[in-house]
Formats: sequence, structure tokens, C-alpha cells
Amino acid sequence: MNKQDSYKFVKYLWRDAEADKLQGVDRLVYRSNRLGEDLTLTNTGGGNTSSKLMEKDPLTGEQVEVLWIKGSGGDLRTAKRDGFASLYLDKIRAMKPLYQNHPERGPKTEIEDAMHPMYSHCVFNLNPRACSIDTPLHTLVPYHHVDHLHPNSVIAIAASVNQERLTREIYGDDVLYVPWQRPGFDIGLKIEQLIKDHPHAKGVLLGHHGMSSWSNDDRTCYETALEIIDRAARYIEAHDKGEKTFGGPKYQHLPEETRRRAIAGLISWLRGQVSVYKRFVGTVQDDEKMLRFVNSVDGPRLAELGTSCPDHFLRTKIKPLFVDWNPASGDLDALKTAILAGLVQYRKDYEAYYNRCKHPDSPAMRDPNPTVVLIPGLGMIAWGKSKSESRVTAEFYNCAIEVMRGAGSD
Amino acid sequence: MDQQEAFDIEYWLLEDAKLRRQPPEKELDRQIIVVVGAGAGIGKATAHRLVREGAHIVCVDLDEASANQTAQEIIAKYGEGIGVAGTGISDCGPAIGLACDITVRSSVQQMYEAVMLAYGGIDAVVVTAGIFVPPDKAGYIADRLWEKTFAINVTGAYIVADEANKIFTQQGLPGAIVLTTSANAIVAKKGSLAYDSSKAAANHLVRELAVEMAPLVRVNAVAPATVVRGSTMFPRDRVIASLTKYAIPFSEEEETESLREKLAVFYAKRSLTQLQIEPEDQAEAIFLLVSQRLARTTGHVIPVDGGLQDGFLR
Ligand SMILES: NC(=O)c1ccc[n+]([C@@H]2O[C@H](COP(=O)([O-])OP(=O)(O)OC[C@H]3O[C@@H](n4cnc5c(N)ncnc54)[C@H](O)[C@@H]3O)[C@@H](O)[C@H]2O)c1
Ligand SMILES: [Zn+2]
Repeated sequence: MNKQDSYKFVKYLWRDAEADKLQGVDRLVYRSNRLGEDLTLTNTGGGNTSSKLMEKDPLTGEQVEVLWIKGSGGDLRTAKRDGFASLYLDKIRAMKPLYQNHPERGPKTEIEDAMHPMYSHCVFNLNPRACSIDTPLHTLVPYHHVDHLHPNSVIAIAASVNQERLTREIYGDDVLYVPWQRPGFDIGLKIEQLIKDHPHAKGVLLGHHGMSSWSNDDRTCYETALEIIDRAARYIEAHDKGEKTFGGPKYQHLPEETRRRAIAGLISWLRGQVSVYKRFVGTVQDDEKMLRFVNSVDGPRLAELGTSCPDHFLRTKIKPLFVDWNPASGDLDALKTAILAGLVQYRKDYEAYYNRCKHPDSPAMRDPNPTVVLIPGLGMIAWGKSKSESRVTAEFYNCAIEVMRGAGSD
Repeated sequence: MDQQEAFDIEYWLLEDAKLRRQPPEKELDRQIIVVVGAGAGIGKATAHRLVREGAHIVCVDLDEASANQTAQEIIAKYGEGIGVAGTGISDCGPAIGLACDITVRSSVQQMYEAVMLAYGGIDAVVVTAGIFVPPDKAGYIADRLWEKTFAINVTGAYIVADEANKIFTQQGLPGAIVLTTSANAIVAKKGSLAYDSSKAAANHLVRELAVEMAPLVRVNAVAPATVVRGSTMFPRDRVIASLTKYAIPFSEEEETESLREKLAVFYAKRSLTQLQIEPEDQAEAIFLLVSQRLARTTGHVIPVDGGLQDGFLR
């Protein structure tokens, strides 16, 4: 059987005829775009890719090893060559003792945050693109090519209660497991050690976060990523709850015509309510998947638990506003009252969360208004500072719902 | 995942640094602006002017194809953006094109409904849609055409503003409306009786709406004169009629563009600044009125006419 026919949920988009025309970093761009093209593989702006390549040093003319890695803030689907940072590999490897010799190491230590600015000293060929926060992982994995992605199916496994056991069950020894830890040197070193201990492993599942694959061959790295994601998606399908998803339906879907009318009549009012500090632009989502969630029995409880992908917090906030309203009543005034009450509570909760968790050097509290509003019967309204940003917010919450669906299918 | 861990990501200093690296916001960022008449001339130039300041542009025109064309030009220049989501029209980019006949209230309502689903609100509405109907050879204007002139230039502008007012009121955020009248609104001329009267009515409509919609929404207008380039208001026949009227020499064989140029030069010479007036000059004034730069101005009509002594108020 052909490799490309063996996947069920992911698209195999690699074409040798195209890739083989390309060299060096252009092949990395090609691989990244193919990964980004299939939304089942990663979310907008999420994930990163790297290749360790030989380049001619502009100063000495000698061949040197360079780590090409997706830049910070970029997007795999749309990234071009200038979206990648380039770093001298020997220099970034030399950062390891700097970290290891520090008396107090680990996530959230001073030295962790002090490491990232050091990358500026390692820039190859004056490339102005800032490197990704995941650069230590890409450096420390001892393979030429590394892909790191945030696929819904994998995160569903990685966010479930039994994440470690499920990883074993789905992947056996092929894929390593590390619990959630924010990106940085510490987790990079842990993965480096795990690979030493399990040299046959092809990738790793990162708790609450996503996965990585690696190989010395770029196409194999791509295919491994697809395989890891497809296996997670197959597992989820095998355990799908069908009608009972999210505890089954609580409300009926309203007909499209009624829904759109109601949203069009309500949304500018809602915009005014959430734009107290700054104006927002909205995106409406009322497709089948969204409606199943907002109309479900467990929707409100799951939404309150919050988003499990740390990657999304900046856009979606830690939880959405789930409006307590019965769509069967059709009472739009009651809906407004419910939204107002929900907003007051939401802002209070957000402020309390900020005050409870803040550190002396934390940035000031951000806008306490929700960016994701879920309304039974109607769907989701997501907000962002531009249309593009509000689409990202909406996309991220679509991901969150997929993750909850998968994580609940044990 | 526990809340502290979530917080430590949301407020991570490295993430914060990433946010602070973003370019500063532009003047019209976060805004959704409806430009009615965006298919041609001054409206098209306005759409391109406002998007440069960060606004999302709803390009509206009676002619759907030209509305879409302007929206496509904007998307080609600024990109669709990132993020893959949104149902139906809500998956749009920084601009959309919509068809609408401003003389029909239900058509205007449908247009705004689409805007709500696409972007969720409005921050400003610009109306450049207008019509000039020349009198017949005997200098007479039929009742039907008189009505049409008023339907578009006065009633249409009113309906667009009136329906916008409902949204502005619901939304509760300060907004702006800019209409387009004409130098002719205050200068009486031969051969443009219906048009000039309609524009005079539009001038007063600006003041009435400003009173009606205060304090939330400012209502102003620009009063252009003689913007020949890019305008569909100057078809070949009208240009030839004007050249003849002003005794400007021309030949029937000349290209329309060359005839237009002659007329534009003549108009320019007639003004105090002696400069030709471009659609972009009107767009600039409209931008000022939409933005916070003229945030203390409402109920006024700003002439952008090169300086017409006849148009000075007595
Ligand atoms: N061009 C000038 O010299 C000049 C001078 C003074 C005033 N003005 C005024 O400026 C405005 C814009 O002029 P322009 O030169 O850009 O004109 P234009 O004809 O090039 O553009 C006007 C647009 O309005 C649209 N439109 C017409 N009727 C409509 C309707 N019922 N509903 C929706 N859209 C409709 C047209 O399709 C067209 O795309 C007009 O109000 C005009 O009266 C123009
Ligand atoms: Zn990641």
C-alpha cells in the first residue's frame, strides 16, 4: 500500500516531484506549508518546524551548520523563506552549559527566561527574524529535521486524564511522553535525555500541548508527524460517543434563518458590551459542530473547565462566556438579560483570577471581557482586534471543542 | 490544567514581549466602515483611503460586480489575514463587496444584516452613491427623473443613515456618518435643476441628521466639485455637452479620456487654487471627518472644490 493511502484523517500533501526541485531552506518552507495546509495538523500560528542545514558562512566562507526554524509569530500555512530564523548551531549548542551551570534551573526560573534573548547572539547571516520560543526543543533533538504541531486529535489525547496511559496504548514505544511544561530549555533537555534512553522513538507527545516528530530525512519527518496524528484521530473515532457526545443534546438547533436573524439583530449590541475598553471585530460560527456543542447537556460545564491548550489563552482567554438561555423560548430580551448577567460575572471572575495568580512583575490586567461567547441555539460569536484576529479566536475555540470531544471519548 | 499554570502562560513575560513587538495600532484599526458607492469614483478612492488606516471596508454599490471588484483590490493588497473560521459570510477578510439599492429600505436592511454577520457592527458609514440626470435637449427634466434624482441623492442617503442609526444606538459606541453633497448645493446653475435641488436638500439632511443622531453619531458631508477622473458621472455625452457649453475646442474623434482631461483642466482654471480635483482629494476629507481628527465637528458640509468664489457663503 502506498504511504499516502494509509492515512485516514490527515491529508498526504507531499509531492516528491515538487520537493525534489527544492534545496536547503526552500525544502523546509515546502514541508512547513504542506503541514500548515491541513487544518487537522495544526492551528493557525501554532507549531513550528526546523532543519539543520550546511550553509556558507558569510564571514569565513566555510561550511557551517545552521538551524533554520520557523520564526516567532509566523504561521506554517503561509510562511515563506523570510518567515524562518537562522542560528549558528554550534553557538546555540554552546548555550547548554550556560543553562546547566546555573544553580536554579527549571520552568519559570530566572535563567529560563534569560535564555531566550541569548539567541540574538547566535544569529546567522544577520537574519532579522526572531526565533520561536520552542527553539531549545529543536536544537536539542539530535536529528536534522523536527516538526512540532498542535493537532486537535493529539491534544485531545494529551489533555485527557489518562494522557500517559493512552499514549502507551496508542503508540507503544514509538512515541515518547512528557507531561505539560511550558516551552524552554528544561523541557528540551528532558526530551534530549528521553531520546538517549529510547533511541528508536520517532516522536514525542507533549502533555496539554501537542507533539513532535523527528528524522534525518525531511519527508520521513513529515510522514511521521502525519502518522502520529492519524493514529490519535483513529483512536478517537473508535471511541466516539455518537449521539451521546457532550452528554447528548439539551436543546434543538434553531433553523438557519431564525438563527441568523437573531444573531444579526443582537450582535451589534453585544459588540458594544464587550468593547468597553477597545473595539472588537466579530466572527460568527454556527456550523453543525458548533451547534452540537452549544446545544449539549455538558456544554456549559465543559466550557467552564476552560481551554486546555495554553497556546490559545491569549486569544480565547481561559474560558468562554457560556450564556444561560433557553433557545426554545425564542425570547431575545431574556437573552440580552442573560448575556448582561453573564458578562458581569465573567469580568468579576477574570479580575479575581488575575488577582489570585499575579506575580509582582506580571503585566497589568488585560481587558476582562470575554472574547468567545457561546449561545445555545445560536452558536459562537468570537471577538478579536481585527477580522483576521477574530477568525483566529474562533478557530482556536473550534479546536477546543474538538479537543473536548476527543478527550471525552475514553 | 490549573489556573495558576494558565495564568503563567497568559501573562508570561516572553508572550508579553511578543505582544509589545507588534506595530502600534493605526488610526482606524478595529473599525468597520461601510462605503456606499464604493464601486466607482469617490467611493472607490475612499475605500482605498480608509483601509490604509486599518479599517475593515464594506464596499456597497448598486452594481455588485464593481463593489466586489473594489473589495478584491483591497484583499489583493492587504491579504486575507490568518485564522480559518467563520460560517458563511463571516469567514471574510478585511473587505467585502455587497449589492444594495439605497432607494429601497429592505435592500438597505439586508445589506446591514450581512455586515452584522460578517463583522459584528459598524463604526462609520460613508455615502458617495449619487446620480446626475441631465435634462433633455429642450432643457426639461421629466418627473420620473426628478423623482429618481431625489430618491438616490436625498431619500437614499437618509435611509442608509436611518438604518445605521438603529445599529449605532444598539451598539452604543460613538460613530460617524459622512454624506457626499456637491458645490452645486449652494450654487445655482443652468441645466442641473433637479440635481442641484437634491444636493441642497442633502446639505440640510446633514444638519437634520446631526441633530437627530447626537450625541452618539457625528454627521457631516463633503461637497465636491468637478471630480472628472474615475467618475461615472462624466460619460462622454455629458463631457461633450459641457465642452460645447463652455466653448472649449475639441474634435469628435478624440478619445473620451482626452475630452475629460480638457474639461478637468478648464474646471481647474476656474477655481482659486487652479488645481484639478481628484477622487483622492475627496477621500482625504472623508477620512478626516470619519477619524478622530475632526471629532468636534458635526452637522457640517466641507467643500473640496478647489476654491469656488461662487460657492462662498453669504
Ligand atoms: N464627480 C464630481 O464631479 C462630483 C461633483 C459634486 C458632487 N459629486 C457627488 O459625489 C458622489 C460620488 O460621485 P462620483 O463621481 O464618485 O460618482 P460615480 O458615479 O463614479 O459613483 C457613484 C456610485 O454610486 C452608485 N450608485 C448609484 N445609485 C445607487 C443606488 N441607488 N444604490 C447604491 N449605489 C448606487 C453607482 O453605481 C456608482 O458606483 C455623488 O453623490 C455625486 O453627486 C460628484
Ligand atoms: Zn507548541
